[in-house]
Amino acid sequence: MKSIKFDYLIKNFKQDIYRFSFYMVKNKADAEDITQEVLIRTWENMDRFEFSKAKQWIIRTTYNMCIDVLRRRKIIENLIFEPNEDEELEIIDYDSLNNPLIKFENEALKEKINSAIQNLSEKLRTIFIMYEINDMKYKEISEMLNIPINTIKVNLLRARKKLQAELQNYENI
Amino acid sequence: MKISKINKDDIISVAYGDASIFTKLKVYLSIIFNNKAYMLFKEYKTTKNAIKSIKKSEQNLVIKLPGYIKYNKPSFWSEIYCLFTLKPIIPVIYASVIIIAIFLAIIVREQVPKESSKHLYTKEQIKVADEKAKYALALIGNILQETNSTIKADIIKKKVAEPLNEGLNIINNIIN
Repeated sequence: MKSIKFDYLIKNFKQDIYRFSFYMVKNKADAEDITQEVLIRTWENMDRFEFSKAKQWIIRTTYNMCIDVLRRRKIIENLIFEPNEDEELEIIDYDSLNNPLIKFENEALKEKINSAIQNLSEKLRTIFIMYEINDMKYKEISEMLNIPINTIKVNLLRARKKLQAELQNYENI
Repeated sequence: MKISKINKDDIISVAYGDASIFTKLKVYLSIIFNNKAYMLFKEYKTTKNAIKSIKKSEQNLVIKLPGYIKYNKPSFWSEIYCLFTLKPIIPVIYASVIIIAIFLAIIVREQVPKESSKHLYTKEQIKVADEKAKYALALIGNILQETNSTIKADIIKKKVAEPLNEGLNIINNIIN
C-alpha cells in the first residue's frame, strides 16, 4: 500500500516540486537535487503524514529545503563573490508547436514571465508560486507560512502588479 | 476615463480568475465602457494565460532514487484508489453523476413505451384496417386481371396475331 501511494505521489507531484523549487532557488541543478531529496523524504515519512494532506506536507518540505539552499547560498556569497547564473525553465507547449509565430511569441512571453517571477522578492515569490503555480488555497498557504489570509491576498496582489510592471519593463527594452 | 485603485485591483483579480461573481459583473461592465480598463484587463489576462501554460508544461526530469525506493508507474486502479483517499470528494462527485445518469436513463426508458401506448389501436380498428387493405389489394388484383385480359384479347389478338396471320396469308399466296 505504501508503494502504491508513493507511486501516485511521485507521478502527480514530481513536477510541482521541481517547478516550485526552480522558481525559489533559480537554478536547475539545485531544483533537481531538492526534488530528489523531497521524494526520498516523502518515502521515509509516508507513515508520519496523512495521505489526504500529502500535498501540503510535500510543498512545506520543498519550501523548507529551498530556504535552506538559499540560506547556504547567502553564506557562501558573503564569503566568495560569485555571479548568479540564472537558468531558464524549459517549457514545452504542444498546442502551439504547429504555428511557429505563435510558438515564438508564447515562448518569448513565458521566458519573460520566468525571469519576472524570479525577480520578485522571496516573500512575494513564495506566495505567488504557491498560489498560481502550485494551486494552493489561501488557507493552506496561511497555515504553511504562518501568515494571515488577508496578508497573503495583499501580497499576492502586489506580486501580480510587480510581475506586470516587470513585463512592461521588458517590452520597453 | 481614469481607473480608480479599487477598480484596478478588481480588474486584476477578475483577470486572474479569483474574483466573486459580483466583482466580475462590475468589472465586465466597466471594461465595456472604458478602453483603458479593457486594455489593463487584457494585459493581465495574457499574463495569467501564459502562467497557466507554464503550469501545464512538464519537464524531462531525471530523478535518481536510492535502491530501496522502487518506483512503478501507477496503474489505473491504484490511481483511482489514491484519488479516493486523497480527495474523496472527486470520486463521490463522479459516482453521483453516474448514478444520476443511470437513474435518468431508466426514467426516460420507462416513459418511452407510455408515450407510444397513446398511439396503440383497438382490435376493431385493426380489423377494419385489415379489411380495407384486403379490399384495396382485391381492387388492384382486379385491375391487373382486367389489364391481362385486355392485353390478351385486344392487344395481342388485334394488334399482333391478326396482322401476323394476314402477313402469313400474303406470303402463302405469293408462294402458291
